[in-house]
Amino acid sequence: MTHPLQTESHTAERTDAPVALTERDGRAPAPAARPLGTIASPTAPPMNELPVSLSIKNLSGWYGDFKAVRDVSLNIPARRITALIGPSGCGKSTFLRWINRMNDMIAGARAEGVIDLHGENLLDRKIDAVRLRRRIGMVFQRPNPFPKSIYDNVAFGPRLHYRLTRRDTDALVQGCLQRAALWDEVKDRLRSSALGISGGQQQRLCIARAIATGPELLLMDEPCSALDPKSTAAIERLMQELCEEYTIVIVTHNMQQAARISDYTAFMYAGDLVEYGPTQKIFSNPENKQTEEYISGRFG
Amino acid sequence: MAVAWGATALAIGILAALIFAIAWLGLPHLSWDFLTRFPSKDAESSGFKAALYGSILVMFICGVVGIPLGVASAVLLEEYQPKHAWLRRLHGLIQMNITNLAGVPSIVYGILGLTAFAQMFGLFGNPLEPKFVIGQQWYHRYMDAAGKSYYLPVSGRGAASTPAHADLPLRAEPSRRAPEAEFSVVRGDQITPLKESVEREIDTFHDALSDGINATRGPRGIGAAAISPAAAETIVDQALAAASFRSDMQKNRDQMIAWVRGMNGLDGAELRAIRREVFGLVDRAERDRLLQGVIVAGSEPTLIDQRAWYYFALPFGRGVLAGALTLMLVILPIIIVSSQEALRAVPQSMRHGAMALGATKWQAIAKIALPAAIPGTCTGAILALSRAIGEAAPLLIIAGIVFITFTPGNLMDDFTVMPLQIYNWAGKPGGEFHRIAATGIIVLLAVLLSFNALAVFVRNRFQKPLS
Repeated sequence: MTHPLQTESHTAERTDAPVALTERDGRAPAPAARPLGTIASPTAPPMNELPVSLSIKNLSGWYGDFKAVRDVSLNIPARRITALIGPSGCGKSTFLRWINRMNDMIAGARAEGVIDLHGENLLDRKIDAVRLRRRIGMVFQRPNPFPKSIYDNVAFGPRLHYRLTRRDTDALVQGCLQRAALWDEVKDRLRSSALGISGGQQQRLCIARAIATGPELLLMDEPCSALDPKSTAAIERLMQELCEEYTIVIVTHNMQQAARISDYTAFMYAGDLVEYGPTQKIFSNPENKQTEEYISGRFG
Repeated sequence: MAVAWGATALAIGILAALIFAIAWLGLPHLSWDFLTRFPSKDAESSGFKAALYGSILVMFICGVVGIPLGVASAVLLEEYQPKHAWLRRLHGLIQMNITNLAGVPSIVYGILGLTAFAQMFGLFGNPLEPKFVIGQQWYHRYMDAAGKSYYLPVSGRGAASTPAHADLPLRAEPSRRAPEAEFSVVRGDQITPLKESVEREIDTFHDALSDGINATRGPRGIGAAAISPAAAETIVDQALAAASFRSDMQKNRDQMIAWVRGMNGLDGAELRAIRREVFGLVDRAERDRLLQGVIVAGSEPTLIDQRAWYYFALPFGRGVLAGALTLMLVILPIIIVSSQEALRAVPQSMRHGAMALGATKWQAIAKIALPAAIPGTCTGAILALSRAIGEAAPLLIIAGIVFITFTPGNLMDDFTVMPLQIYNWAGKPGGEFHRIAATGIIVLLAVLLSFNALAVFVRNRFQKPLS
C-alpha cells in the first residue's frame, strides 16, 4: 500500500529510493550509515521531499474540558529524528502519547483529528491500540525496567506477541541489546536484575526492550532528562544509529539536545504548533518571533 | 520521659509475667505425646492432635480460598477503577467498607458464617439432611450369627425398606469395614439348631483331644509319661479328623501341637489352663467360621452411611469447610487491603512500560504488577493467617465446644482448633486441665511466632525497591 503523501518524495537526499511503507516488514532497506557521533545534517532536505512516516492533520486533544493540543498538523518524516520542543505544559508529551494511544488509559482524555500511518487513522476507535503499540515503541522519561532480569525485560514484548523458541529468543535478545549498544556491558549478567544496572544502562535497556517488538516508530518522552551527561551522550549516539532503521520522535526540554540530534524540530506553545521545520533553520533563522524568543532563552 | 519509660517497663513486665506463668504451667507437659494424642477425659493422657490437625486444615482451606479471592478483589479495586461518576462512588463505598470490615468484631463473622455457610440461608434444607450430597454411601448393616457386621450398599436413601436379603445367596460389596463375604440366610427358628450343631462339633473335637492326651499320659495321671513330638502330632490330627472340621486349621494345628507337647510335666491346674487355651482357640476360630455369614431371615438391617474423603454436602453444616470459610471472611479484608497496598507500591510506570510494548491491561497486571506485588501480598496474607489461627470466637459459633477425638476425614466433618481446645481445657475444673491448657497455649504461640517469622523473612528476602 503506497502512502499518498509519499509521491512527492522522489528527490530525497538519502540514497534509498522511497519505498512504499507497507504494513510491517515492507520497510525500506537501511540507508547508508551516518558516521557515528556526527551532528545531524545541517542541510536537511525540505520536508515535503521526504518519505512520510506519520501524517498528522488537525489533531486536537482534551483532558476533560482542558484542550491540551490545539489543531496540530504536521508530517513526520520516515527514518529521521524529529524533536518536539516547547515549555512545560505546552502539550508536546500529550501529543506524543496520542500517537501510540497511551492517553486511552487516562479518564476523560479524548482527541479529534487524524494521525495517519499507512492510510489508517490511529485515532479510529476500530484500531486496536494494543496491536498499534507493537508497531510504535515508546521510551519514557524515567527509565522503567521491569523488576525482572535483563534478559526477561528484552524478551517481554516478543513473548507477548509471538511463540518463540529458546534459541530465537536468545538471538533476539542479543540482537536488540547490540543495537541498543548495551550488549557488551551486560552480556555476562543477562540473568541478573535489570534494577541493578545504572540509570543510563536502564534507559538503553528500555530502548532495547522497545525495539524488540519490531516497531517502525520510536517515541521518546524526554529520554535523557533523568540521566547524567555521559549517559545522555550514549543515548544520543544510540538514537542517531537507530534512526537509520526507525523513525524517531523525541520530546525534549533540552534545546541543545534538539539541536544536536534532530533533523527536524517542532516548536509547540500552549497546545499550538508554532513552527515546524529543519532543525538548522529553526535554530538559526526561525520565522516566528515566539520561536526565536524561546530558543534564545528569553522565555520558557 | 520517665512516664513513657515507666509505662513501657510495666507493659513488658506484665508480658514477661504472663509468658513466665504459661511456661511454668505448661512446659512440663510439652512432649511429643502431647502433640500426637487425642484429648481424653483425664488430663494426664490428653493430647492436642485433633486441635493441631484441625487448625492446620482450617488454615490451609482459609489460605487456598482466601488468598486468591483477596488478591483478585484487590486487583479489581486497585487496577480496574471505574471511570463513570456513579461507579466511582460505588467503588469508593466498597473501598471504605472493606477497610471498615477489618475492624468488625470477629464474633459477628461467626454469626454470618453460620447463616451463610453452615445453613446456607436454608436454601438446601436442614444441615442434618442436606439436599445435595457427594461421596456418601449408604449401607444396610447385617449382623451374622457370629456377631460380625456385613455391609450391603444401598442405592438412594429411600431404599432402606428393600428386603436386601430376599434372594439367596447375597454378596456383600467389599468395603473398608467388611471383607468380601457371602451370606447364607437361615430362618429364625433354624438358627438355634445350627448353633447347637456347631457346639456339638466343637465338643467332639474337645473329647477327641482329651482322649488322645489322656491315653498318652496314662491313666495314673499327671506327669507320668512324656508326650513325644510325634505323639502330639498324632493326637491333634486325630482330634481334628474326628471333628471333621471344614476349616483350614493348619496354622492352628502347629500351635496346638506345640501346646500339647508343652503339657509334659504340668500339674493339674496348669494343665487345665492350657487345655482351655487350646480348646478356646479352636472354639473361637471354628464357631466364627461355621456361623459366619449366616444371617437370620427377617432380622432388621441397620441403615448406616459411610463418607468418603471427598464427601461434600450443601449446606455445609458445622464442619471444617464452614469454619474455614468463616475465618476466611475474618481475614479477607486484611488480605485485600494489604494486596492493594502492595499493588499500589508498584510504580504506574511499570504498567505503562508494559502497555507501551503492546501488552493488554490484563497482561500488564498479570505479568508485571502482580509478580512485583507478590512479596507484599505474601506478607499480608501470612499475617492475616496468623490472626486467623488465634481466632476462637467465630469458630465457637460454627463448631461449638465438642469433644473431638479424631482428625477430620472430610470437609464436612466435625472439628476443633487450637484456641477452642485451649478454651475447653481452661474452662474445666481441676488444675491438671489448666496445666495442659497452658501447654496448648505454648504450641499455639510457637505456631503463631513461626508464621510471623515467615512473614518477616519473606519481606526481607523478596521485597526490593522497584524503581
